[in-house]
Amino acid sequence: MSSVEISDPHDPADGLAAVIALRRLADLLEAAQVDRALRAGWSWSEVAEALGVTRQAVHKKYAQRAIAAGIKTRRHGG
Amino acid sequence: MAERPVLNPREIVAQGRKEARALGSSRVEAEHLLLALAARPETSAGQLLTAAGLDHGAVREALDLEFERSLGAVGIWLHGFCLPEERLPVVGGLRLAQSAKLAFERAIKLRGARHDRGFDHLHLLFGIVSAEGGTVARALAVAGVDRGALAARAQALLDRAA
Repeated sequence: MSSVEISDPHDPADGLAAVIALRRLADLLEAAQVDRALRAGWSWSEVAEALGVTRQAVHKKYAQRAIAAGIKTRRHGG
Repeated sequence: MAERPVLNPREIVAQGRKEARALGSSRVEAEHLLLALAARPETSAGQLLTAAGLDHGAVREALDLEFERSLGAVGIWLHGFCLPEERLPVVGGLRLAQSAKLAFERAIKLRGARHDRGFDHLHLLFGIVSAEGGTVARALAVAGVDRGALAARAQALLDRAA
């Protein structure tokens, strides 16, 4: 089962913990999917556009991490 | 009597960074410090955790379960969905998150109140488990571990050592 439904938990402790868990899930997904995209030859600009952020933002966040992962990235989009 | 190495905060933070990186976190949270303590079963805090059924693997399991349950509270079920193992590694000197800073603050406060000479793993364990809310408190609840009892046990062991 992998259904996604948004419920409204009544207990704020559960709701706030869900926020933390969702942020963590999003961070992990982003690191995994940016990894995939770059390995598939996407440029920083393309990744940035897909994420709805500036190229500078995505580059600042992931350039060092991509180098650490041994990924060669393209300088320009297209 | 357990061997009582004095806590080297740098060392425990370094281990906390390793734990954070392994979990893909770019900051060191209190739960990473707890894992760091559990990774040292030869210390008094490590022994206390093991005796409470919380060796390193058990802490990881409790954290995984807390993660799944917290997502479940908003209707997201990870059943059958595995996050890709391959992801960009976390690099650089990870900073301490607020939860970790507060754990250290409570540990230092306890040491001051007790007039203990050294800074022990047990002080830090107390600082970590005495947070009322947050991921560690929730993970311990999921694991069926009584936080208050853990904190009291840490203090009792400090008493014995004093």
